[in-house]
This record gives sequence, C-alpha cells and structure tokens, in this order.
Amino acid sequence: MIYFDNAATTYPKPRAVRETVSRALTQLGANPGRGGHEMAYAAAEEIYGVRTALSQFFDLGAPENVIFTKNCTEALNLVIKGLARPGCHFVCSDLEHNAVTRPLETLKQRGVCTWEAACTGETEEKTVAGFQACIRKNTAAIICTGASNVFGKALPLEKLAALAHAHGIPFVADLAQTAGILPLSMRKSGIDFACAPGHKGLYGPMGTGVLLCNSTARLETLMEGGTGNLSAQLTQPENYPERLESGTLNVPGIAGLGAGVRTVQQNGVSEIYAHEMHIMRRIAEALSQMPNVRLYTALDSPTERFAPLLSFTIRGMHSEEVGAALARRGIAVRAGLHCAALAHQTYGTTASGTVRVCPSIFTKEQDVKSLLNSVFQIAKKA
Amino acid sequence: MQKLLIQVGSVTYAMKAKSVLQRHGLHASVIKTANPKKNEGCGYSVSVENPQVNVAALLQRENIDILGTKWAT
Repeated sequence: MIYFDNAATTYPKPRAVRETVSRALTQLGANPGRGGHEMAYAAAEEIYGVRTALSQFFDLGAPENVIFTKNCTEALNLVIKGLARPGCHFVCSDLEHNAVTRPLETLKQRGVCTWEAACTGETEEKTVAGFQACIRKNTAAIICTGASNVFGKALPLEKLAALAHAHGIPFVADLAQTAGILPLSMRKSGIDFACAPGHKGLYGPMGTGVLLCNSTARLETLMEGGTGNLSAQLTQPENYPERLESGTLNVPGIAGLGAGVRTVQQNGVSEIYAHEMHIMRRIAEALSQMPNVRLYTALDSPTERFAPLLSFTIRGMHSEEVGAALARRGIAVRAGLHCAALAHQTYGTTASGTVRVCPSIFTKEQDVKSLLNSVFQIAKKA
Repeated sequence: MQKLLIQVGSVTYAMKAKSVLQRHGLHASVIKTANPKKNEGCGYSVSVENPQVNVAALLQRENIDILGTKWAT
C-alpha cells in the first residue's frame, strides 16, 4: 500500500517507536505515580522523561504543564470546556475541525455559551481582522487551528495570540496538522494552550495526544478520579498535570510518543517540512495540469502559508468515489469531509467533499509517481 | 548517612525535583510517602543524601512547591 493519509495518522511508525512501545509493554507494566515499587518508579520515570522531551520540543519550559490525553480532540475538549463559563462566547476560525466546533456547539446547545467562526482571508492581516470583528465583551478565548486539516492553509497563530492578549483573553491553538511540521515555541508565540495529537507529525502511536498549558487561566476539569496523590481528599488536586490526568496513563503509547519526538528531532523539523513541501509542490504542479482535476490548495500563493497537505476533486465524481478508486489501486488517501464541515462550507466543497493527500518523512519519489499516475488514469475516465 | 526527605505534591513534582537535584550533582531518589501533609493521603517525596546546599531554594527556583521536609537516617 502507498500511504498518503498521514494527515489522519502517520504510517508507518519509525522503528524506534515500535521498539519503545514493545519495551514499555514488557518492562513498564505498572502504574506510574501510584505504586512505590521498582517498576512503578520506572514507569513514572519514563512518563516524566517524555513530559520533559515535549516541554523542550515545544519550548514550554515546564514539564509539569504537559498534559497527556488520548488524542488532540480530548485536549481541545479539556481546554474549551475547561475555560467555558456561563454566558461566555468563543471565537474560532472558519476552517476548524469538528474537534473544535462540536464542543463549542454542544456548549451552545446546553445554554452555556455562544460561539462564532471568524472569516479567514487571503492575507494574515485579513484573517486577524476577521477575528477582531468577532470579539465581544464576553469572549472567553480565541481558538484557532494551526493549519486547515483539509486545505493545508496555515493561520497566523502568533498574531492571533497577540490579538487575544490585547483583549485580555487566552489563545488556544489546535496543532493537529502542524506539530512536528512547523516549528513552534510556546514561550515566544504567546499561545496559552496548545493541543496536539501524538500520532500524526510527532510519529507516536494512536491513542496519544497532549495539551500544553502556558497560562495561569484556570481550567475546570472534564473528568475527575484517581491521580495517585492527595488521595484522602474528595476534591480533585489543583496542580498540573494530575488535575487533568485522572486514571491510569497510556504508558506504552506515551513511551512511544517520546520515541516519535526523538525521531522528529533527529530528522529536524525544518528538514521534515522542506521534504514534505517539496513532495506536495511536485504533486500540486502535476495535478494542476491534469484534465478534470481541480486543486483547492494554492501552494504557490504569495500571501498564504501552507502545511504540507492538499485537497483536490475530479470533475463528475464524488470525492469518495475517487478515494475508493485510488484504494483499489493500493493508494490510501482520505476522501469526504474530513470531520471539518465548516472548512468545506468555507471553500464550497460540502457537496462533493475533497480528496486529501498528505506525505510523511517516509514518502518516496516512487510513491508520488504512483499516486499521480493513478489520479491521471481515474481523471481521464471521468 | 543522613537523608533529607522533601515532600512534594505528586510524582511529577518528585521526578522534577529529582531531575533538578541531579543537575546540581546531588544524589536524589523518589519515594512514595504516606501523607505529604496530615490527612491528605498518598504522595511522593524526594530523598537527598547528605545535601550540602540549600535544597529548598534550588527547588523553589524551579517552581516546585515543598510541602514539608524531614531528616532520616
């Protein structure tokens, strides 16, 4: 199989990740932060080591503010619902994933808060102005994706963080498509809360994610329970990370995530980005010249930045038909709405959906040739 | 040899404290503790062998809350 569905989950995983997960399963089989025996300490040491690695990778400066979650969606729910107060209002972009819009809409339908989507523009200034126009007196936070998971368009996180701070509210970044791809310093960017999947650009196993907290804004808990500390109290501990990490942690997954982060560091974030953008430009250029193919990601735009992924459609075919035809040829892509209805509304692609292509560090020239040849054959018959 | 037991709020802070102390050349280990504070239940401490420096100051500089200290042999 030729795999271009890396925006959903990167595959394959680096050997170091697979070996680390296996080692954790065989040698770290005890609950970290619970027991007082050798294996429990070893598991806790492993977990703390990965917190430290992630804190350094994102320049957070506080390993204890790295919260492990089961994915980026859980991290976003922790922040959105943790910041929500009765009568408040949120602003997000018009390119958000359902991981942002569904928690917001759920809060709205429960009568807790309201929300609106700011229009993104073809320049960063227009995008910031779009957000500015949505801010109200009761806005509790701005939430924004680092890059659209459908079209790849990157958004100006640092400028939006500055806008949020000018209004005295926190800024939340969804790094689902940019963690491990675009460099980020939490301390320099001004991002207050960042949510990232472990299983995409950080090359960890599925079932891993992180919330990075760079703010004193108090998050109410989504879930309470055993944390291994202050156990005589009925109330949830205040300190991070335990406050937001009730229950047994995914030790093998987190250990694997640590190995994934090391792999990304060894390859270099800038080098990974350059490799993947080279591939995407090559694919975009070829697709743009194919009959019946419509490309939605303008990687050569002088005013827009992109994460290394793109969307296209073939005239007369639903995206799912194209995805199925590619699958029959052994090529894995993602078709449909990509759990991002708002982004498809913005681009006018709701009816057909799009076919999304995303490479990884393992994508080779031959994979690109196979993809392009298959799309050409399918489009020719359309 | 005397050991200083530093009680902290969680295993994460115990691991952080251990890391900070090791960076300063001190031999430290994490141990489970019954009651960091009276009636609070489970917690963790860091044990430091015969420290010759102000350990509390080192940890506080790294934003580690110390719930209590005691000497043990």
